[in-house]
Amino acid sequence: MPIDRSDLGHDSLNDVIAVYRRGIDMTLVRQRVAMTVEQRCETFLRALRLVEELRRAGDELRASGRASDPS
Amino acid sequence: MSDLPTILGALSEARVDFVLIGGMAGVVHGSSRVTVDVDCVYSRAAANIVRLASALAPLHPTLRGAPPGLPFRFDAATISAGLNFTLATSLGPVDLLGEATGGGTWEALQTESVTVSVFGRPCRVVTLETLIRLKRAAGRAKDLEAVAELEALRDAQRED
Repeated sequence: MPIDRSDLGHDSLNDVIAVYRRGIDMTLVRQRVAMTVEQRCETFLRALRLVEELRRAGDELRASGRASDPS
Repeated sequence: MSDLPTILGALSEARVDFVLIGGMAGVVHGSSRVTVDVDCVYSRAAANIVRLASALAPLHPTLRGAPPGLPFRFDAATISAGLNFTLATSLGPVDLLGEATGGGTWEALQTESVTVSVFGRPCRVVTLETLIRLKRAAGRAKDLEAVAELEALRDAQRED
């Protein structure tokens, strides 16, 4: 959802970003920085394939009508 | 299913002048955020538009979110008549931008980009500093969340 920035000055935007920043694990960030671009791209592709597989499994589950039936 | 390497490969092989921005550019700079679309700012030069049209036409682009059956022909004439296109292709979503919010045209952005090997092909990607500026200008909640990570990456790089 777009933020109405007419009410947000530069400082307010920075405040929002600072809140998001608190949740970032800098140890993981440093790991990423240490990777080559090719390594980052390969890691990304693996994550993307995982996300797509999970989405496919979710679609299959909903289509089966068992999404709300614990078993 | 998104096939980002093939999409980027098609653009690269056709020698399309473009700069990668958005989430994929973030990945190049170390972002862990998973994105499924390719966002690129392309040159509006007539010859480049012809190359762009021929590169992506085999992927059968349609306008994302358009009503079914809405006539749309993806060719050089259509690209010339428009500017920014959000497309669905047979290999995944592609956003073609003649001009990016906060960043301007390909001419402006190519001077703020670097060429890197992406999936084994040379690809022009906006610098981390420019990507942060573009995300700030876009200003959606998800962009500001991305800015937080990108600024953390920038700070970590400076520590090195």
